[in-house]
Amino acid sequence: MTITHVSGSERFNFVQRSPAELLAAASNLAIHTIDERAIEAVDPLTFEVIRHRLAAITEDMGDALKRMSGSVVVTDCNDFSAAIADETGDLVLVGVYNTQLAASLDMAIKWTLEHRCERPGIKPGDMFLCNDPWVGGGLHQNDVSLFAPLFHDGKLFAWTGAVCHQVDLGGVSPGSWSVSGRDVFWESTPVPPVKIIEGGELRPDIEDMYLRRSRVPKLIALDLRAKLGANNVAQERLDQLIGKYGPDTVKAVMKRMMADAEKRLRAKLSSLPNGTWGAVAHQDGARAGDDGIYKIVLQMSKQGDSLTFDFTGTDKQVEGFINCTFAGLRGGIMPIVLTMLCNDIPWVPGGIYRCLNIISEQGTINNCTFPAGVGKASVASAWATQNAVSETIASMLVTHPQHCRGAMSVCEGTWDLTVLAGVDQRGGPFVTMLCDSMSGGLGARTDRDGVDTGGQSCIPMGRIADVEINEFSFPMLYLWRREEVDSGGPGRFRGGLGASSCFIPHDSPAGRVHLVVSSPGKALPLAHGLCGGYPANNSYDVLVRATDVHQQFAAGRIPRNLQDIVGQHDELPSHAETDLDPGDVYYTHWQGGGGYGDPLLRDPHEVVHDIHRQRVSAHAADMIYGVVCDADGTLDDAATQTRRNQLREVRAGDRKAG
Amino acid sequence: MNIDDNLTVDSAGVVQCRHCSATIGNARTDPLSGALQRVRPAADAGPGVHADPSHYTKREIVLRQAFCPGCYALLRTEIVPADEPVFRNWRLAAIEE
Repeated sequence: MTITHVSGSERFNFVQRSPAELLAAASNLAIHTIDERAIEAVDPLTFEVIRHRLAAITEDMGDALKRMSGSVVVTDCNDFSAAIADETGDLVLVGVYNTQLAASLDMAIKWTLEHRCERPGIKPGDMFLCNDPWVGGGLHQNDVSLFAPLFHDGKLFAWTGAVCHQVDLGGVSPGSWSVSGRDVFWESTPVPPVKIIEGGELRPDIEDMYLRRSRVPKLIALDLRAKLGANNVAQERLDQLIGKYGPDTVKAVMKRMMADAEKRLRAKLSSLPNGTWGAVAHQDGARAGDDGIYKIVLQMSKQGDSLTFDFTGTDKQVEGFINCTFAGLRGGIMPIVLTMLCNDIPWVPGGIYRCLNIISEQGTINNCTFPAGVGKASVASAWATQNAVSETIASMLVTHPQHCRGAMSVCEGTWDLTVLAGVDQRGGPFVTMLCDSMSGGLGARTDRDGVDTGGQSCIPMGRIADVEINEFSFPMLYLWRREEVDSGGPGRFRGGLGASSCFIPHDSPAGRVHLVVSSPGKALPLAHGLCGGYPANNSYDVLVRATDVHQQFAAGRIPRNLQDIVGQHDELPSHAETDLDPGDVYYTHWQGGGGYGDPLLRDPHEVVHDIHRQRVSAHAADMIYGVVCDADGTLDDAATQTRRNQLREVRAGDRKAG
Repeated sequence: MNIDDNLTVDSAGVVQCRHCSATIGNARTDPLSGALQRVRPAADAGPGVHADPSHYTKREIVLRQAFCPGCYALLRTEIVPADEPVFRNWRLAAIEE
């Protein structure tokens, strides 16, 4: 069945409006504004004090979220974000957590200003809940944002917002990752902004409507309160700040922060050459049973002091759950702009967005229309967008003698999703997204190797739960979790290693545990290298049925690799859903970072060091790096030179062959 | 100016290898027109390719590489569907003006 347009759904599409247009749309609201003179009047010392206080408040929001949430995804893995925006939703600050999420909060606030002012109205003490990726506030339905207007003296002064990944909000598959889904109706129903907190009181009718869809409503209710708490913390702190310095001064600092970030990014862009850089990012499989490969094409142009991201040529939206909306497309751009271009510029998206232009055709996989499936958007087409943006920005930066140090090859080319669900060891229902693949490899740099299991581009503060926390929280037992040899892209500088986890279902009263797997990057790697550097490893997930693992335990042995395990080994496709029975073993191996430069130009001593630390195998050292060791493991200089010459002869042979 | 770790371009648009100064192409037309091109099975990228791509897709997946014709330095590596053109390219406005 093809994706059929739903008449009326256009209302939920984000449309870029100017602040003046939004103020006009919200004309029934008293709104606090200031003029340019007030912005100029703030002295530098006051500016710095308030700027840092705003940053601290954003961090306080994150702390509040982590302390109140009951979800390991939030408490231990930091898959959330918080932000402060001005009166029309332009983002003044985003936390250092999931920058994909925060980068779309402005969209939801602006939509709310445009569509909720008249009825039900925007008043002091209100908070709006949203998980509609077309509106914004998140990239897929699991990203639920809660944002609140801040009023001062009866005028709308600013907004605060918190968003985090919810482990289950319904849909066909546990965790709301509907791997067999064809469109959004297989997935969790998107909720456009609804006033769930009214005048400071939680509305039970709205909360019931929200929680009713989840397999773990109590956990979702706790996270809702965590976001409520985060907003309350921010609003209390902002009230104190306004009380101390006055509303005009605080607002002036917010406006100047945006202007400052814009000015500094424009200056940096001006120092780079004008030109166009192209990239492509693939995904294999749009849903379970699909063996197609889909591409996002990007031509990024830098002209003067702005960047234009042109996605013309990207594939049309597909039946499946890998599409993303315009929020996902923006969420694929902003994290790379922040980490690679703004490493010396405050992360103020409201100013940074002013330097960026986007050209994209609606109805494509990274700008899809309703009701295309978007259940995996954040780590599917948004992530692939991120990969393409990463390549183009890095390619631009390497032309510059100083800014090249900010360039990085693609980090962990995809999210290797593992969802577990069923009955936990305490007899209660559980669903969780295992966040081990948060520890991807970072891309190689122009002067150093990528960081092994360093994380991801989009969540600077991402982390993984301890093995023991996962085993305590969920009915599972690890055989190992470790960095994997040869998972970093080879190059003059090597990409950071990815890793693997291997575990069995354990101690569930139900015996079996449900498993949802989703990871592209199996047919082809997705973390590409730069300047000839190789990509990182392919994703690789294996389910071993009816194993001898319990017999090995009884004999006092713990298997140390897949070859140690007797059973039926199945290499899983990109998307699958099944049950793990007692005695089954699941192995998931996520991606590292791309390499930089020609591996034959890598210092051979570094390769030997990598062999000793089990980061590169002797086979890869010989085949890719042309490095040969003696029997005692020391570098054989002469043999290495000979081997490298042989490999160059192989390269030259292609010319001889015509 | 330097284009990347391997390439440099002069004001006339001539693209040369930074390692051996061999001419590789012209930025106004095709910067890598003189590069050696190689297409191999994806598995030739090393042990990081864990399984045959045909296990996951019907499309042929290949390792495509470009080398300097003078010193054989590796200039570009990608693993992509064989039927797709090269999207990883660049153009500099200063060279085209």
